[in-house]
Amino acid sequence: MGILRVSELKKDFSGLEVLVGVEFEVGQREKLAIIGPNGAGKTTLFNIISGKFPPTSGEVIFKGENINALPPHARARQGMARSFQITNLFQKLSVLDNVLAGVRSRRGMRHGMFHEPLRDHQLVAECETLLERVGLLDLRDTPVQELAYGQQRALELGVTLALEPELILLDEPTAGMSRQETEEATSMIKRVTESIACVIIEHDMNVVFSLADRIAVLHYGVILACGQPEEIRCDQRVKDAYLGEEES
Amino acid sequence: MSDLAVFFLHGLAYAGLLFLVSSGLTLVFGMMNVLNFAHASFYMLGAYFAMAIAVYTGQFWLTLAVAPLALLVIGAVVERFLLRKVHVLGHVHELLLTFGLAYIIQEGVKWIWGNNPQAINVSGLLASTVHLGGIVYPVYRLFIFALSALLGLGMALVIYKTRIGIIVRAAVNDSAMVNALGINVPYVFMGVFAVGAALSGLAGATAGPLLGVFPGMAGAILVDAFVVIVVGGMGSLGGAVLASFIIGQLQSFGVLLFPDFSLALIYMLMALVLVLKPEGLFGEKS
Amino acid sequence: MKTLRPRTLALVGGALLVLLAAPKLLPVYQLRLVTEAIIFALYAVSYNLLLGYAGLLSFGHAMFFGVGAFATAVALNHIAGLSLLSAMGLALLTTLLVGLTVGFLLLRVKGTPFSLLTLAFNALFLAIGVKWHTVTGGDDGLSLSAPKLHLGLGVLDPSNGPDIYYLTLVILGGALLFCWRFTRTAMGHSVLLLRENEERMRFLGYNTNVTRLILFVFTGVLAGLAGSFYTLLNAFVSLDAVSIDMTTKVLLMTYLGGTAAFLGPVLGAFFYTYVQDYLSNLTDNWPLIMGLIFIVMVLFAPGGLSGLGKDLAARLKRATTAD
Repeated sequence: MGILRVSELKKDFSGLEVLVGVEFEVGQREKLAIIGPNGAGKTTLFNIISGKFPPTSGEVIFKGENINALPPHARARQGMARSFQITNLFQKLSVLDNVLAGVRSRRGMRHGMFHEPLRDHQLVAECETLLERVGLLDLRDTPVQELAYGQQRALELGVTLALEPELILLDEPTAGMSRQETEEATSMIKRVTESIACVIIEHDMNVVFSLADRIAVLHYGVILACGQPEEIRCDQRVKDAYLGEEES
Repeated sequence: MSDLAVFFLHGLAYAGLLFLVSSGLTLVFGMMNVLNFAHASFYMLGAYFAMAIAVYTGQFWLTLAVAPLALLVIGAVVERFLLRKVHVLGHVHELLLTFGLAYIIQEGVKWIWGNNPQAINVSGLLASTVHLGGIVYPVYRLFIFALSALLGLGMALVIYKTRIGIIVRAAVNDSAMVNALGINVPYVFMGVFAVGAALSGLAGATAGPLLGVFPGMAGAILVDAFVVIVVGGMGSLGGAVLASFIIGQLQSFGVLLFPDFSLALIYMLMALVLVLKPEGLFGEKS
Repeated sequence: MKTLRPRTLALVGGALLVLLAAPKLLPVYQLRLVTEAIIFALYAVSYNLLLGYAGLLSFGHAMFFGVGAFATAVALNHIAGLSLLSAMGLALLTTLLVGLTVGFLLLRVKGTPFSLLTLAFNALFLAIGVKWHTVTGGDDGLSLSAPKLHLGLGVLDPSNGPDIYYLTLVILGGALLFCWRFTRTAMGHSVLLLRENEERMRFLGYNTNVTRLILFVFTGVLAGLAGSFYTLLNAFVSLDAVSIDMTTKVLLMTYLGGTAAFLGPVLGAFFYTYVQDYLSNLTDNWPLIMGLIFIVMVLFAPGGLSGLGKDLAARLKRATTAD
């Protein structure tokens, strides 16, 4: 059984149908890439899966349970984490504090009034291990707002991983990066998400083909095609949809 | 029966004042996302200016023209030289600035005019009463309601029928977009802020003869105006009309039915709206 | 962990010594002023946990201060034989309940509506104070004679200047230390997350409504504790304690001192208390001057006095290194 299943998902914003019956399933440890032109509803889909807003109809099944009614924080606690397309961090806090926010949450140290996280060597060590994995250990005391863009993206991933999720939703993890940065980021994502299921929204086809086990094409609110990367590469409907898009 | 009619009319008069104060407040909030804590202080200044003019000239009608004009200028200056300056510091500083202004106006008024309540006298027709189907009712309260209803209609006409109105409504919805269309949005902000201040000043000038002029009058109407925009929905003019009417009537009948708890009624309404529809009756979900 | 440098240690030790010796050094009136400043320091620090740390602008902090102040007086006046500490305990419990109730309603709104509603609720509590004459004394206020506090070593009499000073110093000093430590706890960290990015926090598994409620109640109880001491110091409580002016006061103190540093509001509380004392001898319109100082600060020195101090220190450092 898969970790995430989305069925008959519909969403309209005051009459505008953004999703019209989206269905797919993600297996354990599987990497599913969702591609599609701008306005296809990809980010809306993420917002519904992660609980930012509810679907108009349809179901989100996570680990075998319908989670439609769960708020975002409850989904995060059940093992679902997401990153954001536009870097969405705690800008004035240090790199360490950002990762610590995730680690504390996972360990249930959210509101303790007697425990001092920075004095907990084990906790700090855990954060440092995580920072090492995303290559930011040297910058642990730097405020986020002073980081370079690529470093912020890496931290975005680090904070998401701090939850030790079973499923990660990555929203355009390489958006706005140079070619070299993109390559580095891709290999890092590959490394750190080895044992985790992933849903990735991505425009860069190189990234998609090097990360994804399966690809789903979202086009004007419906899944046009879903399959192995090779199938998708050869699918005539996908070619039409994409070519049509590029011509216009 | 006639008692009820009297209290209903009282409620209408107060609703008129509330609308004049809260309409500017809610429009400015809708456009600039700034809640002006000094808005009710403009109302109080309007009342004090009116009193000063009435004392010097004895002309009540003159006060209704001069007080709003003075507030128009003050509003424009506050927006242009104070509020706009702290905009870059962020939201909290904008609120702090307007709160500080309210405090200064409060203390300034005490310094200039003292703590004692003062009165504005009206004469002639406005001081008389009329017979309305069995009840005798003061003309002045009817005048307040008529004046605010007239201004409300005027506002509706400007906002829904003119080009300026279209720009203002668009700026409430999406100021970035309007800016992109080549319209000078800061200028529109200043204009609406100033007109809002003038309306509030006019409300103060008309309230003076009815409620008296005293340093606590800003605080008294500020809370009611806040309740109006919370209940009506922040940024909604239609909401301000409906909520002003409701609060006006609650206030009036509250005093009649539960003299000690009239304020509690208003808070209960607000709490109810907060629990059931936090964005307000006419508000949009953010 | 950083170890304290000898110089810091000497400074802290010296300050403690001065504070302990103050009753011997200062005349009665000056001692009273220091006591009041310590009370307002706690009030302002609790307020800054909302404003500076969480980025929540409340215009209703006086409702907690006032409830703490009135609850202390009412408890001592109506319950015969109640000890001083139990009265304070009851006052804190009352503010806790008030915080939970108001906080529950305020959870639903953020940003400007939050600020607006805190002011509205403050106005409600003031109105209750005015109308509920039989309990609060209405416009007349309440007098009280606080019972002596029996400790193992001796007896403290709250109506005696040095005694109330020491009591304030120990309990409120302790509360201030607790606040300082609070900023380093898990909850303290979460408060900063709240200010920086509440949305991301939710997607990391934090129920931010809980975070805000805990903070609101916690700071409310601290303000209530300050209010309780305010009543004891004056042996009297009036509607002034729950008025909008009392909210404005804490806002001004906190902002004038600076919201970016923990000690900013402490500085602000002492600054305000002494400036008020000085100005009120010169003119009845001292609040106007205070308001003007505030506006000038908002416009030109948003970091407050502690921010100005930091700038100055940085400039001096640059000047000396340039030489």
